[in-house]
Amino acid sequence: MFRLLVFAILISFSVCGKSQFKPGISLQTGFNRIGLYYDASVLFDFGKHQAKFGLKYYGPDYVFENHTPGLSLGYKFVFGESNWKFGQGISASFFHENKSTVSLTLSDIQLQFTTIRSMGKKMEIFSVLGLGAVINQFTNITGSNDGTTGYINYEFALGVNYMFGNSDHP
Amino acid sequence: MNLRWALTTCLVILIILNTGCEKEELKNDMLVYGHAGTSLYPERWIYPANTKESVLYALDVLDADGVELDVQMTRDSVLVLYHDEYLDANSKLSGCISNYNLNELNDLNLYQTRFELMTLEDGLSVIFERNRNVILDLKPYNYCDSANVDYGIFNRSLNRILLPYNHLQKTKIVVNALNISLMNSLTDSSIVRSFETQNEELAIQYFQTGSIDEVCFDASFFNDEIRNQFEINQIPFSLFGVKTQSEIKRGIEFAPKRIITDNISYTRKFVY
Repeated sequence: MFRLLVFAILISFSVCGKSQFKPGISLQTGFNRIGLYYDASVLFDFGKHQAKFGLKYYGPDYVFENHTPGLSLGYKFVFGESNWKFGQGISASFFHENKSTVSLTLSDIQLQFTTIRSMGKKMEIFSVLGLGAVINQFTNITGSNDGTTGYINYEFALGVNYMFGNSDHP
Repeated sequence: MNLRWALTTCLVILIILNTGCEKEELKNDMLVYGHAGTSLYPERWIYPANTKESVLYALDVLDADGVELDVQMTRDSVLVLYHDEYLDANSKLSGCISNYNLNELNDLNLYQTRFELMTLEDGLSVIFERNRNVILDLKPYNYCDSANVDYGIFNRSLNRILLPYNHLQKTKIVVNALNISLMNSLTDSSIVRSFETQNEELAIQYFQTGSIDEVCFDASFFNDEIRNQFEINQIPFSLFGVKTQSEIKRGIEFAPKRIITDNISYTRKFVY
């Protein structure tokens, strides 16, 4: 999965100069019912539309026994013209952990509301409120039990975006 | 220049996350139990304490070795799972579990949620379907009447529930109590009898007379001196009251036979 991600990053940066979007990096940390996380993603800014994909990481705590990275995807529609902007969108992240007798796949899907503050032409800081659901798919390695459970998830996060290249990003 | 910097940064992040830290392990066979299912404390709940959903989450998703459950008896002698002394703060009823029949406890609006009170019978069924372990924290005291329930009736109710299970299954059941008289009233010889106390000398005395098989101790009052006494007397012990990461680390260091935790995953990080 990591090789695929590196390849995708390389490809995206190789075409960025030829496309209509601005690439960047998004770093974010937040807390939800799964635990404390860190997110590092590649950002694609299409003006009013922003998409990102990258890695989200949870340490051993409420759910995971090991240091657990997972795939992080997101999209938001950005509106506002001043130094303060707002975004509405969705995010999805996916994790897998093999415990002693349980194999767990966790999906976290949220609707998110973002408040964005520009800090110059290339940088912006943001806060996120998210509400969604966690879906746990578990399988017991003995084959005696498997199933799916879910619960409501909510989170608060802070982050920073940095855009590359020549930018008229306000 | 920007592109090179960005690629380097991404690659460094990927490498760090891929290698990460090695899983710390202790070479022991400690059993990890979820406290009241997954956790007793609301701030840590995915599902409320002592409910079926909390037990299933602890066993199926978090892979706990077992769960600790709080047992009280209703007026019509049914054993149910509930921790608190009173119902008032957590349901639409007031008073105590022991003052109601089971059918009066349906549709409790427990913790202002849709989750229901679970009977011990249902709880054991769920646990043994998964071949896991259980600690039953017996709570016979009725705070509304300021008196203990009848120990003989309590014992008969427990034996009725244990009837479908064989000896091997019942050895996975630990009954824990503050009250040695209740412990002495229990007649099933297959279950493990655990005495909850902060008095290690009393615990040693009861162990040596054969009244108990194990001791259950609050981790915040436990220390190396007590551990050494238990080790000398070959007394197996459990620890409870570990919630934060530092409390868990401290509790693990004493190498108890069982640990009752409010953070199953973080505790299991150290055990296997």
